[in-house]
Amino acid sequence: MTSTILSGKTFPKLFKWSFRRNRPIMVIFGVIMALGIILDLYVISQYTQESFYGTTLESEIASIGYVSIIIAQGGAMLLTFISALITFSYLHNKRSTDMFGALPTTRATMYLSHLLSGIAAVAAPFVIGSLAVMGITCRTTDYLMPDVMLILIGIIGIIASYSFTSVVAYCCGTILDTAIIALAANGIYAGCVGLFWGLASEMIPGIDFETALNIPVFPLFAPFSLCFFGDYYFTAGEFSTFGFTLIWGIIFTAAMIALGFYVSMKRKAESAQSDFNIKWVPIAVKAGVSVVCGGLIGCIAAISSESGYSNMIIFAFWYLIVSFVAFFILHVILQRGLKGKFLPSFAAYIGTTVAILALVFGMTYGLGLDTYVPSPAAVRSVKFGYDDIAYKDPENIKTITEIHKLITEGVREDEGYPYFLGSDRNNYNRYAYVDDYEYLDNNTVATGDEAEIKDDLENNYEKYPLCMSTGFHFRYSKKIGFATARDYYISHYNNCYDFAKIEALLQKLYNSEEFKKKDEPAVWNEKLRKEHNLYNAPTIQYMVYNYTSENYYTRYSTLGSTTLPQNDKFIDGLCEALAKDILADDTYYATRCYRSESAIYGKTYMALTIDYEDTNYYSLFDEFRTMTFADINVQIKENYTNTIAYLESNFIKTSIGYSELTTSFATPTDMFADSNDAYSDYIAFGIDGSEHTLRNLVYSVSDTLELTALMRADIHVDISSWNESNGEEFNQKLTERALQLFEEYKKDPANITSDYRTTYLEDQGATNDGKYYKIADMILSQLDTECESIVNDISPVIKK
Amino acid sequence: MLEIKNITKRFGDKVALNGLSFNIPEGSVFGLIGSNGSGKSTLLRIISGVYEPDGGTAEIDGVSTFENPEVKQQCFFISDFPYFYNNSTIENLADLYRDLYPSWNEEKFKKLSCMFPIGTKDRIINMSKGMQRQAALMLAISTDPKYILLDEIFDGLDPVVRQLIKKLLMELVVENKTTVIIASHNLRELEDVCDHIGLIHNGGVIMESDLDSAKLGIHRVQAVFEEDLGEGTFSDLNIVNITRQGRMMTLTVKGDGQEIEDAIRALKPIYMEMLPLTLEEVFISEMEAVGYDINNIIR
Repeated sequence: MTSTILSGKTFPKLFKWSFRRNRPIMVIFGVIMALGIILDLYVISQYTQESFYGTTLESEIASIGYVSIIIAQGGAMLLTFISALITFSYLHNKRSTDMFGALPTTRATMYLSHLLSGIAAVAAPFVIGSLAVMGITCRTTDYLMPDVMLILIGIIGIIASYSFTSVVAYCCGTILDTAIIALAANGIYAGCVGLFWGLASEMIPGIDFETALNIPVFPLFAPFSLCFFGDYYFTAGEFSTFGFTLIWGIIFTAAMIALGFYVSMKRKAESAQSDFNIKWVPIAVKAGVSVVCGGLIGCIAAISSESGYSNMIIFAFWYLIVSFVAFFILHVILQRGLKGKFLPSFAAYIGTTVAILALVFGMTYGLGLDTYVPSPAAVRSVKFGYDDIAYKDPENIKTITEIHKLITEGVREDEGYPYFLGSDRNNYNRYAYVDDYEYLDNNTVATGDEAEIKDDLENNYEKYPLCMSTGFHFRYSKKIGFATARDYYISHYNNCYDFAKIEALLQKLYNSEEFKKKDEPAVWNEKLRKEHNLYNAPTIQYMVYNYTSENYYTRYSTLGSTTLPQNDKFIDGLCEALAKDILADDTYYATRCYRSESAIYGKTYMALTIDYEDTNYYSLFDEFRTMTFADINVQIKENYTNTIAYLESNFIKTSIGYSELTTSFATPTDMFADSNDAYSDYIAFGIDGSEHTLRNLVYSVSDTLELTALMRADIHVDISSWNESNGEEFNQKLTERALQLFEEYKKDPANITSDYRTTYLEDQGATNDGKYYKIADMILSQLDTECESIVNDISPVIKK
Repeated sequence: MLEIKNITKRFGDKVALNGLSFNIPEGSVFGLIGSNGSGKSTLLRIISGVYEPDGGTAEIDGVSTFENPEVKQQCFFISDFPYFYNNSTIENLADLYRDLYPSWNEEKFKKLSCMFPIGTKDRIINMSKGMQRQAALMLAISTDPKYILLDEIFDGLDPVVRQLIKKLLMELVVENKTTVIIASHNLRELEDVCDHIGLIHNGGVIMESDLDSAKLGIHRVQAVFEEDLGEGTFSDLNIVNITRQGRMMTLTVKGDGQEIEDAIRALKPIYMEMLPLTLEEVFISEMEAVGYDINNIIR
């Protein structure tokens, strides 16, 4: 039908004329967009690279672009609403229906031409303005895809909202009714969904409001919110949800346009300035508004009161009052007074009121939602914990449902049953939410739970490291297409749960082949390695984890790094060896343990990290790729014999003995120190394994304990024939000489200057005064010239 | 030819047109008259394709007008209150009609633009009621329609413009063989231009004929008799109305003029004269016949 109309003779003529009528909307929106762009340019002009430490100017400017486009979407939605009301106002005036009805065209052509011209009038400035924003804010293609996606969802939002409002316009007799119904329908739907999830998450353990936000249920029938939720999903990294929203937007729009054709054919011209064309619409709107208003105020009143049954009474009391007032006011507005049929509307109001109160009081007893666990046979896939891995192996699905069941067996005792509005759920003081382990660690005095937490550390965290490290988040995708999501924030203090059984199930899950393969997909997937350019920028790092439970931040030190050969065959061989070792590893589950290195290993091991560019980061519909920001990051343990053998056969030094070559010496407290006394500095020496040279590194450990290299210089010494004792001796002599030079140089006041900066420091964005940096630089230069004589002092040089 | 075939239209419980049927010949000027709320405007809206009839059809050359752009291209409807957007001018409306009506006559539009005393670039909404009608008519005539439907077109027009419009409509009929359908209560003006007349009341047709036949089918006779005759004396005649002024009787009688004259002369009147009827008098007479007279309304 659409194509017939579009190819007809009258369509382009009516489109042109209607589009011309929408020019004021275009101009207004264009001016708004232009002002936004000018503001962007002004803000950007105020930025300098120095404004940003730890981030880039480029990314900051790109984020301004994001904000501008999101604001443009807001403007687009507002003008979509206004434009749609104006464009279809000809339906609501008897005189204008005479004029338009008599024109030599069909009603369907009239509908489509008005719809498309209105959409074009809003979308054109939006697209042009957004592209301009992209032009002035995007420095690289990294930000291109997000912007394009935001523009795309914006356009779909405009079309969906416009077509929705047009359908409402055809159902209503006046502009006022159209405006009220269009706004109310959007608000009612989103409000009812929000109310349901809000009540459920407030009362029932396992139901989480934030989870609901990530399920694309909110914008389903509220097209004016579509692009905003789309933005939210995209920026939150919920790409599959974003993809669904995008597709749903298209489906919804197609349905609305089809409905628009239908109602345009059914609408009688004489309906202008008269009552609603579809009688149940105002009844439904009145009932819906009463639910949203009553529910919202009822919740606020109940939550702000004492917990218990009284809360439920308070909810019911306020719900009844506010919902009736809202219903009555809307009835008077829509019926233009008290005339008109009251009883059908009132019956609908009574029906919804009874349903809402039954639902809320039913939730007191959980409605079974708190203990519901899907049958494994009904589940197509499930995501569990903090990972985005979709488990499809029936055995793993069964394991996860068993874990879920064990959680639900303790949840009523843990959370207190029956449930009421305003309960203290998700309170971080009561619950050692594992994500906040460090928070608890640092706030034991503040919370007053010191003894409890210490006890927890000594017992549960050591005995059940997986239980304590796992977020009990379940995302089931069922075979029939529905989804079930549950999030439990369990107490680690109460013995409500069978942690021993849960720990065993978690070990089983995280030792499964499916987990191993999805945890490090690039090890198994050559295509993925190629797609992500893994072969071009790999590095290998060796790390030793010297765990001390007293200090989280100093529990390990980095020993050095080696550049791997940029050779496809080498990487493939490495992955093959790794695949064998990982599959054979019966303690692989430890990768999911909090402080896994202490719990499982407690000693030196290597970590292999191979980075790659995830060029498909914004791929929307490929779950595998979008969910796996895959670098290869594997802990190579002593029993990874295939990998170690492979590395050594390729002359890659894997000897952990290198660590003994590296040393560090604490310097006098004022050496390299800046005005902040919290800084303690030291010199460290490392080895560049591929070049077989010593590398001298001057590090400063900041008070936030983030390792930051302030200065670096290479000491060019060939150590390929050395052993560990050669290295130790060299380091000792080098350091002694460094300290001598320091004492010597600082005698000259000219060497102590705050103005000194090295290029390297500036590149790092250092902001301290650089008092001793000149000396440090002088020491390193001098050491480089002297290193040969120092090497000669080491005798005898032992050949390996 | 325009054929109205058994058209029924309801607005809720109210029946506006009830099985209306008649034909309007091509090239005629058809006056649609009737009481208030009789369904004249509704009929025009159905013919022009604005309203969809609940039953029956309005057909031009055998094709229904509703939802039929090809047929509607031959028609132009000016409603009793022509609609214009706030920023509409004659020129930008001409742009729309120029695109939509293949028969648009640019030369005629320019000629009319000079003829009518209104600015084509002025906002129509700011013009007087009469000027707005002129604007609408300018645009309508410029489309060279085969059928032009006019609802109360003479309202608010000064006598000069009324004459101008009548002249233009006549030209349209002569040059284009346009069929003009005018719904109006201004029977005096209709009498000047119409050659056919249709009288509708309560959604049904009371009379439909050419104007002359309508006028010839009803007669007024003034007569004075020697004796005071009772009304029963005229029972053989189809009397519509009798009034007396002294001995002077005025009779409104339906039927053949010669037969009526012969019948009255047979009563040997002292004085007798056959008087012509205006359309308004015909209308009133016809409406009285169906019980729609001032006495009934007042009661």
